[in-house]
Formats: sequence, C-alpha cells, structure tokens
Amino acid sequence: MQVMLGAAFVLAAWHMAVRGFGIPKYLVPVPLEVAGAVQLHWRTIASQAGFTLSAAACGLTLSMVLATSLAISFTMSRKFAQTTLPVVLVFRSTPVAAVAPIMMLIFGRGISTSMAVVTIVSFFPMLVNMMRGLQSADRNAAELLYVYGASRWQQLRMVRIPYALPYLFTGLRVAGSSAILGAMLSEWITGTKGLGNLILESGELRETELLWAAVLTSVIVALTVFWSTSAAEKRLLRWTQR
Amino acid sequence: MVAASAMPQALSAVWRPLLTGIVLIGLIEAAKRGHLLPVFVPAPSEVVMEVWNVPRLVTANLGPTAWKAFVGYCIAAAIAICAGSIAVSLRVLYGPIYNFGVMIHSVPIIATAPLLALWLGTGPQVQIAIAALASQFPMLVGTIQGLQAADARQRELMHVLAASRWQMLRYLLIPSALPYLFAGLKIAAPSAVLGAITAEWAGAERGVGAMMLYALFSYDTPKVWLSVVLTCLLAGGGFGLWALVERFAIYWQRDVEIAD
Amino acid sequence: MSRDIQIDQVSMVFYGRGEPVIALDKVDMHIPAGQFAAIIGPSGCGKSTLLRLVADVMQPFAGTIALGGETPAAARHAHSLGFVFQAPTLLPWRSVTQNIELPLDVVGRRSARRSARTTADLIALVGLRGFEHALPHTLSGGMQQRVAIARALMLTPDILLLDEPFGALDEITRQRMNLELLRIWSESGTSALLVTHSIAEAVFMSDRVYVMSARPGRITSIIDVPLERPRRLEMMRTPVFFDCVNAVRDGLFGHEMTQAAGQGQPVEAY
Repeated sequence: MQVMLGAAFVLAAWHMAVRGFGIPKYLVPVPLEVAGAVQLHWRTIASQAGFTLSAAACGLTLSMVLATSLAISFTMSRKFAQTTLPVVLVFRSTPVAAVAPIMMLIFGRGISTSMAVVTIVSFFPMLVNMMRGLQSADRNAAELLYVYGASRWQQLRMVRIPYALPYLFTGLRVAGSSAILGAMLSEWITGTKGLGNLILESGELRETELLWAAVLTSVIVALTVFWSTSAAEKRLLRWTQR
Repeated sequence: MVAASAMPQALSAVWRPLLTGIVLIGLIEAAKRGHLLPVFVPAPSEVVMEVWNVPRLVTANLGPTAWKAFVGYCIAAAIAICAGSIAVSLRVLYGPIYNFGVMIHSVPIIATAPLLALWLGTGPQVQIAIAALASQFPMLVGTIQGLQAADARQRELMHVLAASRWQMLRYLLIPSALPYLFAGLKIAAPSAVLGAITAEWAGAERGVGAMMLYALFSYDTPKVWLSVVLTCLLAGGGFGLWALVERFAIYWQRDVEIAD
Repeated sequence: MSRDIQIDQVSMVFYGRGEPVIALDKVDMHIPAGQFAAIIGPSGCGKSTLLRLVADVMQPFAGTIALGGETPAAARHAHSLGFVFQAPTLLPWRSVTQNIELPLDVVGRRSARRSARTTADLIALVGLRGFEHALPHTLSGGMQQRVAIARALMLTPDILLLDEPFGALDEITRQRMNLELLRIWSESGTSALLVTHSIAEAVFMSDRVYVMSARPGRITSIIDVPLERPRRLEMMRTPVFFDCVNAVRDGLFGHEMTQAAGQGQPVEAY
C-alpha cells in the first residue's frame, strides 16, 4: 500500500517538475508520454525483454547447477575443497567489463555470449551461498542422523539440502539483478537483441519516450527479480528456522 | 617502529601471487607456441608486441579513462563524505540521505548512461558522471559507519573529561572513523574505473572501453585482451594504492569490513 | 586533594518501552573526603547508574548530589573527576603515553590549572615503565586497565570513580591489581568510589561498603571496615575480615544464610 502511494507521489512529482521547470520533451518526457510509448511499442519492449530474461535465466540456471555441484563436492570432500577453493577465489569479483569482451571472443555475437557472461558473473555469489547453506544445517540435526548411522549421502539428502534451500534463493537474490544487468551490458558490446540493445538504439535514435520506457522496464524487471527471490528466501528461511 | 615493519610485510603479501602470475604467463606462452591453445587466447608475447609497436595505444586510451574515473571518484568522494557527515549529525536527514544513496546505487549503468548521454551530450562528462554515480555508495556507507564507530564507553570517557564537541570530533570521532572511511574509499576505487569503462561502451571516442569495442569489432584478439588487462590493472591499481595507504595510515588495527 | 561525596534522596527513573524502571529509590550516601568506599549489589541494583550520576553522565530524576559542595557538572568541568570503566576504553590509535595524556589534550596543556603529574611519574606509578610507546592492542587486559587508571589520575582528580574495573580479569591478576590500586590510591590521596561484584574485593579495598538491593535500587546496609592501612593480603584471613564479609553477605542475601549455617548471633551492621 505504501509502495503504491510512494509510486503515485513520485509520478505526480515527476509530471509537475517537468511541466513546472519547462523541461523540453527531448530531455525528460512526462509520465503520460512514457506510458504512451509503452502502449505503442509494447510488443517490441516485451520481446526484447524476453530475450534478455531468457539469457539471464539460462545463465543463472547454469551457474546454479555448477555452484551447487561444486558446493556439494566441497562438502563431501574436504581435500577437494582445500585445493580448489583458492582457485575459485581468484575469480571472486570478476567485473562484467573484463568478462564480456573475452566471452565475445569465444562465443561471438549472439545470445550465448550473454548467457556465458551471466553464468560467470553470478557463479561466485551462488557458490558462496550454497556453501553457506550446506553448512548451515542445524548441528544437532546432522549429528542426530550421524548417530543413527546415516551415510554421508543420506545426511546430505535429508538434512543439509533442505536447510540449504533458502540459501539458494539468497544466492539468486544476490546474483539476480547483476545477472540481468550483465545480460544487458553484454548486449551493448555484442549487439544482440534484448532490452540493453533497445536502450542503446533508442538513445542513438533520440527516441526519448521509448528510451525512458525501455529504461523503466529494465529497472522494473530487475526489481521484480529482486523482490521475488527475496520473498521466496524469506519464506523458506522462516520455515527452516521455525 | 610500527610503520617500519609494515613495509616488508606488504612486500611478502605481494610476491607470491606475483610469482604465480609470471609462471602462468610463461606457461600460456609456451602452450601457444605449441599450438595447444584455442584461437581466442593469444600469446602473451603478442599482447606485449601490441604495446611495443604502438605505445600510444596504451597512453592515448589509458590516460583518458584513468582521468575520467579519477575525476568522477573525487567528486563522489567529496559529496559522499559531506552527505555522510550531515546524515550522522542531523538525525532527521539520515534516512533520506542513506536511502538516496541506496537508490542511486541500485539504478544500473544501463539506465543512467543513455539518459546522461542524452542530457550531457557526448564527451567525457557522461563517463565522469557515471564513475561518480558508480562509486558513491561505499564511500557514503564508510563515512556513516565510521562516524558512528566510537562506542558508548569512549563517548562517556570524553564526556567525563569535559571535552567540547570539537574535541570529541578531533580526538575520538574522526580517528575511529578512519578505518571505515578508508575501507569505503578502497572499495569505491575499482567501481569508479569500471563505471567509466562501461560508460564508454555507450559511446566514447577514446578510452579503454572504446578501445575494447573497436578491437572486438575488428576481431583483433590481442587488442581485446590488452584492453581487458588494462581494465584489470586500472581497477586493481586503484584498490591496491588505497590498500597500501591504509596499511600505513591505519596502524592500530586490522582491516574492517563495511556493511552493505 | 579530595572532595567529599554527598548523595541525598537520589532517585533515578528510566523510561523505555512499557513500564518506567525505577533504577534508584531515594538513595542516601555520605562519603567523607579522602575515603575509599565500595558499592556492591546484584545486577540491576543501579550501582553503575549511581556512579554515572556522580560523574554527571546522567542527571538524577530527584534528589541532589554534591561533590565538595559543588554539583557534579561543576566538578566535571573543573576536571576533578577520574573515571575508570569496566573495559579499559583506551583509544586504540594512541600509544600508552598518548592515552594517559588525553586529559591534558582536552584541558589544553598550557591551561591546566592544577599541577598535573608528569606522565613518566604516572607510568612508573602503575608499573608500566618500558611500555611508553606501546599500542593498546599489544597489551594484556590488566596492563590496559593500568593505563586507564593512570589516565584517570592524570589531572590529579579529587574523586576517583571505578566501575568494576577488574571484572574482566582472572582472579590472580585481579588480586594483584587490587593491591596496585590501593598503593596508587594511597599515594594520590583522592576520594574513591568503587563499584564491584566481588564481596572480598569490596571489603579488602574500602573503608566502608554500601550494600544495595535491586529493583528498585536501595541501600540495604552499610558496613564499616575497621582494618588498618596499608592493607595486606594476610588480612584476608583475620576474623575481622571474615566478619565484614559475612556482614556484607547478610546485607546481600538476608539473615537466613547465617542462621542456616548455624553461626552465632548475626553480626551487627550499621
């Protein structure tokens, strides 16, 4: 409710500021004009958004699979963790600016580059969260199974993984928005279809309303991803922490 | 005597990764000579030759990007530190200032770069602005956390000593804020660099980002890698510089982490 | 130089969520100048609050406090108070010497009206010679606390306030610090008010022990300690010491304890 009021207030203030200061249309359009652009071009916006989202989704899924398997292997074998973890740490905060051009060299222009960039950028946060999740299992619960003679696999399946589930969503939350942004930035370099490209092109063509519409859409998409993963994470966390 | 022993410590922390890096480069070079590596990984020697043949390549591009990032960084630092100080001293403004910082932090370069290009025209102003927007948040958080770092007992101590507000600031609040401030400044440096480079992708004549786009367009693999290397050097260099200063300036405790 | 401490009908109320908390309820204390007094009581009895009221960190809800005839605020601004906290509370970026000289920096070295002891004297007094330039994180807890004591004495205060200064130390270090503190105190001649959890410490250190009860904070008994000075550890085996400790214990836990133990008449406490 508060969010709606806040948004309405912002829109009203926006409209008044633009009209009041006499800001020309080509710099800042009024919300109504932006809405008009959205209505006019909604198919384009939607399809471009679809490209970006699918690239982000595929990349996130891939990195989730990789991160989870790596995290599970780390939990199962401490030696493996000791040798491999330092190597992984090297790629701790790989910036998109460095990763994207190299991925483009490998995968060329196309959606696979965006996917690769998303995978790399979101890999480390997902790994960290999955590791934390697997280790977070209530000490007592894990020990209980151990006393019952459960094998390591059973411990994993029955205790650690359910406890780790909320952390999966933490990872998705942390990595989600940077995934979307990574996909869009890749589109800037490669020129593939997507929201990022739409933004760039509409800027170059000076189609201001469309530019604003695209920008707003991208922000809304990023926020939606953030809120939904956040909500899932909270709900799951509440469940595991009784 | 504390600062004197920090120097060899700093060196010892650096030589191991440095050695590993040199060995790695040697291995890649050898593998490339033996045609063992795919096409998209160039021989390090090729990358070096790029620089050797046309040194102006590096200077003409590295300079502008570094300059833009630096100017944006300084602007952001000045504003963030002032805003942070105001937020801590005037409680009523804390919420608005912090939230404003969060908001700017959350709006991606994707959104701001094209809009700023529209408003400010082509030229370095856009990249400077983006560098500022990209680096402000850690500095704001560092300032706010730092100024709140003095604990209750220390404040009581200054009160019992009948210290004036100015003395409290000078003897307690500012020194206890320094570790957090430095942490924030340190983290913000690479963000400014990366922001400037990413902003160049949206249209710039010169700079590491522009060089990168041009190299990608002409499928010039060594040049692409060179631009990536320059990116990492610039970003890492800013961070490393601050880390070095921090080691000498903050001599009484280990690094702090600032919350996000 | 020392001041007397007069606490008259002091009450303190804290407002938080829910019911207001009466931390102190009409407390009276009259400590003559130059005396060493101890306050002991369970958690929540307001003893730390009382100390902070004397130090002008807080103002009482009702009642008056007079330090040598002046208000705590006046005494504080005259730099007549020394405070030693539970945690050493040293400034980590200052060396031992710089920490001890912090009061001088605040007062302004040139305008220090009273003759401040030299830092070297103080460092020798607390037994930290050789550590003048050490940073706090290189010192043990006991050593840090000694720096805090030296700092509190820097401007030769008239009143020394100590809030469980040795609570975080182990028993052995604690006993040693007690002796050190008594030595330092006797050489400085200030009045001292010590808040402590330890019955033995309260009796061993002070001339008079104030026993408090909690919720609301009140003084239940006052025990005079007739042991002679300088105090020595062997005194802890004397019957006089034992009686005082029992009296304090009675004040804390009530008479049931002594009667149950089958002791003779309960010790008179006044």
